[in-house]
Amino acid sequence: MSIFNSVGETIKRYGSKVKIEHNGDTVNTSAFVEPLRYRNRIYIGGQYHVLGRNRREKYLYIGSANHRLVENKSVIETHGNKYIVKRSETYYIKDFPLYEWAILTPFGERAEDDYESDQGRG
Amino acid sequence: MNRIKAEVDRIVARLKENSALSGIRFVREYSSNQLESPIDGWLAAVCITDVKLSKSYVGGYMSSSIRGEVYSAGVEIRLFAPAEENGSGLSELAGEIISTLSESKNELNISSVTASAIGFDPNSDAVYRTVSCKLEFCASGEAV
Repeated sequence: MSIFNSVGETIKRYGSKVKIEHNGDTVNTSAFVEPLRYRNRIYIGGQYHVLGRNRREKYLYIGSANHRLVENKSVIETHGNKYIVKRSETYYIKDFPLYEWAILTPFGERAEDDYESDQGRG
Repeated sequence: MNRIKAEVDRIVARLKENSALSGIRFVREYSSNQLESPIDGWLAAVCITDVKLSKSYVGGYMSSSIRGEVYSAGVEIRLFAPAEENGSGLSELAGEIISTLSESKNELNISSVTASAIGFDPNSDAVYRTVSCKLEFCASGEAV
């Protein structure tokens, strides 16, 4: 088995089921999604931002090169959690794409307008 | 609803009357929801930065026939641009907010309006500009 097939086969066989959403299209495939481990694994808590709670965890994604990801656009769903792609790269051997690498952060849903119902008030 | 919150709500309601600002979603500061990521369209956080209360004669000693509590409150509207937008669109909308607030100064009890330079927020991965205004109004005024 060539290295291309073995990498693809490993992702397919041992990766988790993931759903990739992008521009209204959805693809179901397999990929590895795991927490990025910082020094001493101190990644508890988060911080507050003026727009809401900011969980600062980062996740590593390794998936098939057949499904390209787009930064700040592609949303990955796995094990009931949603993530947004912050950085992604395709790894090549010679000119052949081997796998897709990405850094993910927790996905934040589109915020509702808090003042919508105030419209029309004097 | 307290008076300060009502005054801020009036400001946002006035901004929403401007069709050039109709694409902006206004949210209250420090929501418990997860930070929207990526910023999807124009998004403005409305913040009350500080409030001062002084028991005083309304208008100082110029009109000492009315006694009341004069509030001075700082309000910030932090406007975030969508990920694909640039600073030019941001400045255009911030300018529209400034002119709308300036035109309605008396109606909205605004004493001053300022705007910050464009900044970049790494947490939301977006550029933003902050429009600040100062409110001064009288609460529970009574004739003496």
